[in-house]
Amino acid sequence: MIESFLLLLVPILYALLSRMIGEEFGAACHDLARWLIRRNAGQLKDEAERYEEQWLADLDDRKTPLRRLLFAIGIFRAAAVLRRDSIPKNSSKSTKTKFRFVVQAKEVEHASLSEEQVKQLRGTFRDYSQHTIRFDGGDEVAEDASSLKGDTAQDDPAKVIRHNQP
Amino acid sequence: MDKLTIASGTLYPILARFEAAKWLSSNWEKGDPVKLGRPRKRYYQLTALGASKARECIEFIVPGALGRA
Repeated sequence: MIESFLLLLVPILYALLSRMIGEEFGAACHDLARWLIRRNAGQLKDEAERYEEQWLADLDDRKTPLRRLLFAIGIFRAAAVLRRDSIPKNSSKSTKTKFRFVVQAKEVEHASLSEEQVKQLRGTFRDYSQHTIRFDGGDEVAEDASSLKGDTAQDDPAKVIRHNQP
Repeated sequence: MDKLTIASGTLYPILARFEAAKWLSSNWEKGDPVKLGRPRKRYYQLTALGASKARECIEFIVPGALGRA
């Protein structure tokens, strides 16, 4: 009699416990997601309020706790890219950009790098379109060639490079 | 976003860049967040310039696609 009672009770307790843990996990995910969004939006300065409200509204559209958490984790990347995009590209004096150089064929203009260093940088190009150029490393900034004045690279904008010194 | 299967980390920078390029315009959902009981949503709309660019892109990816439609 007792054995059959226990056999009935154990699955019930197991189900109740699973449900409680699931609900706790869901609530924790929701709180964590909201915290992540507030924290990341807060780093956007001028647009912090806008993005916080927008992202929190979009967070509520996610139906499951895991999707909410994944959404909030994605916001990390979004905030980082938006922060990077908000840095003015022409603020070489106010930011950590120390010099600019132009590579035109093998000529180096406005450069304080040796040709060897330039060759090394040229070797690290990953991809470029007509107007921008990117290469490995954290501090390089792709730049529209048309914003450069007095350079000789207008014929080939892809060869205009702006290099930021840390 | 779920239907597009684009991650949030990819989507928002794209929206911001398109908005900066004036390909999209955005505005807040009408209503008071207090009355709505939730934060307001942000709605994005394709501008005339954005629609033109979109057509260019579609034409570039699938030549003649718009002509066939």
